[in-house]
Amino acid sequence: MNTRCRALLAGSALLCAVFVLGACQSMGEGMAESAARARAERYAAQGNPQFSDPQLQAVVKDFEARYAVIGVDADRLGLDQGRPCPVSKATAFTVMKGMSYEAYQKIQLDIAAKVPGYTGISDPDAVRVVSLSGFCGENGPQGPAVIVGTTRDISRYRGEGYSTVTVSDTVSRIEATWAEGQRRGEQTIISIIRSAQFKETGDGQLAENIQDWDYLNEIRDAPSANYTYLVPKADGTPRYTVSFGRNPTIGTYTTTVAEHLDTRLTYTRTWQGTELLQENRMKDGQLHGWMIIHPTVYDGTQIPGRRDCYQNGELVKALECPSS
Amino acid sequence: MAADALRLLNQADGLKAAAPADPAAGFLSPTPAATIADEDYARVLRSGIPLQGIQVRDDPVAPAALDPYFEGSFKRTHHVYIGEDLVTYDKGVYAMPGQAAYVGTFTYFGQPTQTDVAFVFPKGSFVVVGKKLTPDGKAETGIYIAEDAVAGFALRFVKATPEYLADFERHHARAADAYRRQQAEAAANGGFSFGQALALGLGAAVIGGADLPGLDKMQLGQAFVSDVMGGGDGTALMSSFMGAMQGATGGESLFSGGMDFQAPGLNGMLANLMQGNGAGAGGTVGAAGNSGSGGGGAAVPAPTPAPASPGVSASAGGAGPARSESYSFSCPSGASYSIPISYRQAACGEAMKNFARVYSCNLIGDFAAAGQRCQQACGNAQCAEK
Repeated sequence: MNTRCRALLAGSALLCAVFVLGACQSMGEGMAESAARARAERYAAQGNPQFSDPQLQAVVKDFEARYAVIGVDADRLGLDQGRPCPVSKATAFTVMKGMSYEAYQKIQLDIAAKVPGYTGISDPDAVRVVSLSGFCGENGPQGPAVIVGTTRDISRYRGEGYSTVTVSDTVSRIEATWAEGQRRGEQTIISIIRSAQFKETGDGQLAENIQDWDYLNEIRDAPSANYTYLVPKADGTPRYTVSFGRNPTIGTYTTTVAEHLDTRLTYTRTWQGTELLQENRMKDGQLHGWMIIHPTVYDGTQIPGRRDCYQNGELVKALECPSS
Repeated sequence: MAADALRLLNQADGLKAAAPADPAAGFLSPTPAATIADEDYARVLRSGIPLQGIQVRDDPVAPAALDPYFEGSFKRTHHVYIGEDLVTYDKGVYAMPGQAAYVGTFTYFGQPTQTDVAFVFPKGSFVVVGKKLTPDGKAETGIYIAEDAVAGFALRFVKATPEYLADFERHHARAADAYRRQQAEAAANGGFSFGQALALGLGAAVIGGADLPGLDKMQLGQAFVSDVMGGGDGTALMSSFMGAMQGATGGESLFSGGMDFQAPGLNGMLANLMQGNGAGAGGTVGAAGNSGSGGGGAAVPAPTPAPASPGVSASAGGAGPARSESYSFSCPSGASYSIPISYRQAACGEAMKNFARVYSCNLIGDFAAAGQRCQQACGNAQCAEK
């Protein structure tokens, strides 16, 4: 074989390898996307867990009715239909976040101290509050009221060779009774979050972070919704906190029920669709007792369950794990 | 939106820079340079002679200056599943800069490892019996375990109950014996004999062999016996615990300044621990910081080996003179024991002796009274002095 032929053959082989590699990657992405979409459809078809406790069951029914109307569409929360609340930016922030801007900043600094490369902040100028019903004056809502508002949170993770900035816009609808600036008793909070992701360029600017694999862009741009219900006992102390997380694009169909056993102990269960995913117990706000992750199936593969013992927030290897 | 986001992030960076430094950041950091070369490990494997120094492990999510490291003595250990000897930790400190440190005696348990590959990374679990030190100045005596560790990579220690340790060891011993039988190998030469360990009660041996102050070991051993055996039917375990405990005394003691560490600030922390809290289970180390590698003498000497008659030594402690002695006694069964104990108040010392005798002799009917006496004299049902 002459040299020219060898060169042609070698060139053809190289091109084939490149094409095959590209095809393999594309095929792998396609399979992963198909598996993720099939999983999302499976959970969507299951519906929600149902309960024998009438209070819990009423929450599920209320959620199902609202979700059928609002879904994950922030425009259906009523922001444009409300009357502006005549509050300062600081008060608006406290109404929406449930804490002052300074307290929020302190939390972000504490996180930054523990997580290398993290910076987080909320945009004080992006806060807006309107009232759909009830009284909302200079000090915020008073008495039973329904308000809708917006916040914008910005975070950055910097590491070796990368820097990712995420801007999250949240629209929340809060139905509650306010007294002295605090929410009291029964509450329903619907929050819908949409995020945009950027990467820092070499000259310190932000550029939109577009992935070659379209599915990644799709799941990144998909809005997430969280419907939270606070159900009190007759004496006003909390009985249940129920949260429904929804993001149909990535297949999030979670239901979390936290049962407040007394003022110190909480028992929490989380379902994905109608499959019980996780159970844990808390004491004074810290994990205390067994945390159980139930077995599940992903793309035909059995994922084993596990249980870990926590005592006052600390992971402990133990055979018995008290929860009181 | 992007310009606003950048402006706000720069503003937040300014706040971060102005925030006071996290006091935990200086805790046992930065990571010192490794002092042991490959040829040093090879020498230990050939000769079996222990080695001292620093080994750095890789934490993929931490900067190099905060990589975890072990400083102390190394020993030769047989790994059943790869059929070879390894060099593993013996006594010393495993430090995770800025987070925690585990000071004590380390035991390594080999775990099933893939060997039909070009590069074999031995897998195993580490058990530390000793003290966990944290940046807030606290020290907690206990058993800590890092399971499924891969050679060279960071260890994640988790607190374990004595009951879990016993269960872990039983499973490990059975699996290792089954593997040996499967491999049709003869009993390991020179390595840890699991059959022997099971007969002794390995948990008791691991705790008893730890380089801890006497009372700390006494408490862990007592907890081990009551957790494992339930209602106190633990004579054999307690006896093996006592035997192992006596065998472990002497030599360099981690908690009495017997080992000089290069880990930034550790010598000072250990010295403060001994001065401030003696042998208590939940001592305080003192402020975290870099006090250099020198000094660090101990106020209380290590428990002395069992002499023929009670030997007593005293030394100045933070709250008063601490006394260490070997308490010898005989049980109604005829068995004799000699147990190192340390205390500050005479009444507590007497209660401690009674406690040790009652539990060692398995005098079940006296358990409750011994605990009550400890509570009255020492302020703790297991005689840990307040």
